[in-house]
This record gives sequence, structure tokens and C-alpha cells, in this order.
Amino acid sequence: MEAMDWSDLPNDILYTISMRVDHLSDYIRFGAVCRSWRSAISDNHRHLPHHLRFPFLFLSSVPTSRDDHALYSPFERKVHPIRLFPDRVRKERCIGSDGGWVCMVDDNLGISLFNPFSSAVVLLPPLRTDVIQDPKPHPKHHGSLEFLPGMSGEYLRNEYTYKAVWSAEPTDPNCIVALLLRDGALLLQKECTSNMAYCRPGDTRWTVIETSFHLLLDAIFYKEDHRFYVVGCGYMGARVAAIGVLGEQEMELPRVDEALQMATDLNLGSELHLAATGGGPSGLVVVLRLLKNLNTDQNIPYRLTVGFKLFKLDETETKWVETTSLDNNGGDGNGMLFLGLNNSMWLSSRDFIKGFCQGNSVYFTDDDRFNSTYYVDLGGESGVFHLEDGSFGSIYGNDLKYLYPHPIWVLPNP
Amino acid sequence: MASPSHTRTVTLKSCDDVEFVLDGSVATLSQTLVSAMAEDSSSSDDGTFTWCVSNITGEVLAKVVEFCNKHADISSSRGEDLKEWDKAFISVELDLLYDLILAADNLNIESLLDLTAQRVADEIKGKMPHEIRMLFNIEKDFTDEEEREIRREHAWAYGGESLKSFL
Repeated sequence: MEAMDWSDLPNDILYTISMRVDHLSDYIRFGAVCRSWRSAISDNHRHLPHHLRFPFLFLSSVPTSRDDHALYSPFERKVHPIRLFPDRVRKERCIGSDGGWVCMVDDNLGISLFNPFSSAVVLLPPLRTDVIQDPKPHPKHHGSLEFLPGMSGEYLRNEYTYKAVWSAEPTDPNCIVALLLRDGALLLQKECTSNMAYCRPGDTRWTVIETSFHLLLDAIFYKEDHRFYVVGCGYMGARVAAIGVLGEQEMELPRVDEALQMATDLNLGSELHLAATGGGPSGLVVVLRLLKNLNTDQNIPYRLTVGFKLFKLDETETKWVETTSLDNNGGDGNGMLFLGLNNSMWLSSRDFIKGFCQGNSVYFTDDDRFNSTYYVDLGGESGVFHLEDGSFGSIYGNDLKYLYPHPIWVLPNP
Repeated sequence: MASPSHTRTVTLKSCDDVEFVLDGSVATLSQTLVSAMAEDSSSSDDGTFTWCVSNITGEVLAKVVEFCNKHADISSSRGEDLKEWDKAFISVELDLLYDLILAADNLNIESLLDLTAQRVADEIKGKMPHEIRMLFNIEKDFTDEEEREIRREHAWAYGGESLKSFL
């Protein structure tokens, strides 16, 4: 009997099969078998099967690895080593992740966006030459980069570049990349404000925007109304505002500090994040990460995440109120919030195999960017926080507790 | 006009002239049969309907009928038992699996298409493209250069280790 030719299967059948593979790596290899199998998936790369869209963790510079970075699939529980820029030897640091891309800053302040799933790269203008050439430095604002000459690129990178967020797929020429700049050493000075810088891929320089914030804590690009929103501290406490990168005025949202104070035990530290659930400012969520500052037996300070609290604007959009339900359309508590150095993102637990993940939960990685050496030994902290009962779970199972540099969530986008 | 609900029995005829008689309710698992019955104006009023499947052999059709009979039998087809039954049912040689997929597609039986597609997806799990080709008797129709490029683009997907061994 003549053997069957499996490359002959009709395209719709091959498509049905491709939708049933368990892991993204299987899906990719499915498309590498032959032309007909490839055609069944290549049309759908942008519309990956939902169950394959569980975020990976982007791991940096694990010391003993052959390659410099890796992707970890929590679902597959496998590490996939990657080589970031095969031709370069710069020390890269990841300062952001959105839509399947990560933002890397090297030790010469060269900045690029990199898709670890497809190896695509979009180069952005380097920060240093741009700012040095800036004809109008901001002498008053220590948060601007006037101290650049004479300091090592690695130092400046670690101290000043804080987080990057962007408005669209980086291959889109209209994509705007915004960079939060802040100076860790000068935070205590009253006069200090934090700036942002933005550019489009293809620009030759970054444009610096002054903000009214003493300290920028997090930013998101809100697709619903095409603005960047930031949360940060002014002299008067925590605030949320839309930042106009294209000449618009800063637009202040209702004050958030009152809600935070009522919800916070003053003995705890905290970190603030922004996330977005739906349309209009009412879809914005302020996330308060509660931290306990502790000391080891050797008296080394470290921090421990003890909980999360979420705030949304009430119906009148005049007040932030606490919410304990993470709904991602549908109102059944299926929402999962992925939080850390990435642009905060929501997914629905309904898209994944039952029992693998849990709705109404925050999947968090460490977001302490201050690069203190003790962290190398102590690691950071990652986990799952269940909003309903306030309990914690682990992302890695028992594989591992700590990874440094901190892993960052990245959405599959092959 | 015959309609699925009024048709008491359906006779399926394979390409090698093997006949199978199905209960009308069993036949409704096949959307192809449902449409054919709905469109058919010539059939007799005695509640019988005959359908020739020109490209499915008797051997394969026997499996399809076995599957439909099991899945239409509501009393026995629930939960874990059915899962076990499906698992045993689909443990077939790959050649037969190939024919079953085409038959499921041809007769548009969703649950059988799901089961057969899942079996193929399970087969390729963790395998490299050349292993998949060998298993399914597929010839590589990429040039070496194309294959290198395909692999380079998603190099990460060709390696993988446990977190413990990575560290």
C-alpha cells in the first residue's frame, strides 16, 4: 500500500491540527515541517491560538548559561536560551516589555527594541549623543541628563533609564516609544523633577519632556484613548496624569493619594503601577504593591511583597475606589494581571487550560530596579497573588525561587 | 422532503460498496449528512436516506460509524468513560488516522475531527521538524537555505531545557 502523504492534507485540516498543539515551540516547529504545513500557520501568526498566548518570562544574563538571554515558558516549564545580538558584546539591560517586544539599553546607552520570539530588531536613537547635543539642557532639573559627560554609560543607564513603554508594534512607523527617566541618586532633592523622553523608530534623537512629577513610578500607553498615562509622586503625594508627548498639556486625573492612604498600613512601603482594563479613564487601574522592608540575619535589608490593592475610578470619575475583582470582560473574575517591569497586561484565565492559571490574580515579578549587589544573592521575588483570599502562589513551581536580573513578562509574538 | 428529525435510518455506502445502516439520530453528528438530508427532495417518505461517500473505504467508514454510534448514545457517552473510550478508539496506525481525519472532514463530524487532530498534535509534541517528517513520511520541500532561515528566525523554539539544568 502506498504510504499517505501528510503534506497533502487540506489547509483547513492542517490549521485545525495546528490550533491543538500544546506549546508555542511545537507550533513554531509545526510550521517548519514543509511548505503546506507552514502555510497553515503563517497566515495566523498574528492570531495565535489563545491558549498559546500565556506570557513567557524574559530572562537576562543568567551567569552560567551559554547564551546571554532566555525565554522561560511557565506553561511548558522549559527554558529556551536565546542569543540577543549575535554580533554585539555590549552588556544589555531590559527596561520594558510590551506586545512581545522588549526594550534593551546597552552600556553605551544604545537603545533597541527586540522581539525575542522572532529575533526582529528595531533600533532607536542612542540616548547619550542626543542629550549631549541638546541645545537647551535643563539646569534646574537634576532629573535631566546634564551630567552625562564623564560618567560611564553603564552607570548612567542603570541610574537614569527607568522604564520604556510604546504605543504600537515597533515596526509601525507611527509607534511612539516613551522613556521614563529618573535619577536614583538625587531623589531626595526637593527641586528634582523626573522627565520623559520620546521618539519614533527612525528618529535621530530623543525629545525630552518635562513632567510635573517629582518621581515617575510607572507608565502605560492607553490604547483606548491613545495617550500615555503615568503614575508618580508630586510634592503633594501620588498622582495620575495623561502626559502629552505631542505638545498637548498634561492632563491630571483625580487625586489618588487619599484612596491609597486609607488602604495602606503606614508601616509598609509600596510601589505603584498602572494598568488598563477598558475604555476611558474609568478603565484605568492603579495598582498598589505593598512591601515590607526586612533585614536578613546578617542585617542586609531586603523587601518582601505582602499584597496588592487595586483602585479604579468610580462612575463619576472623580474618585479612586478600591476594587477586589479583576474582571476582564464578562464579570466572572477571570482577569489575570501581569505586573513587573513590563507594561502591565491583562489576560483571561478562560483562554488557558483549566487548573493551570487562576483568574482574579496578579502574576508579578520583581520590579525593584535599584541594582544593589545583595540582590544577586537574595534574588527578587515573583509569584501569584490571589485577590479573593489574599494568598500567594508560585510561578516556577518548586523549580526555583529567585532569578536575577529580574525576569520580565513578555507576550508571545512570534 | 427528508429532514434529519424525520429520517429513521440512513444508509452509508463506501467507495468499495460496503453499506452501513445508521439510526437517523446518529447521522446527525455529521453536518454533511444533515445538510444533504435537508436538501434532498427525492427521497422516499419511508424515512430512509442513502448517501454514497465516494472517497472513503469500508474499513475507514466502519470506524467512523463505530465512533458515531458511541457518541450518539447519550446514556453511555458521558465524561470520563467517553474520554477513555476515545483514547482507545484513536490508538490506531498513522495511515488509518490519516483516512479518519479526511473522513471526519468530508462528513464534517466535529467531535471526530477534534479527536483526530488532537492525536496528530500529540504526536508532534516535542519533536524536531525532521523527526516529524520522518514520522509522517513527509518530504522536505524547503531548500537548505530556506530551512536555515526558518530555523534562525525562531532558534529559541528548537532548544529547551528545564529551569534547574539551565541554572
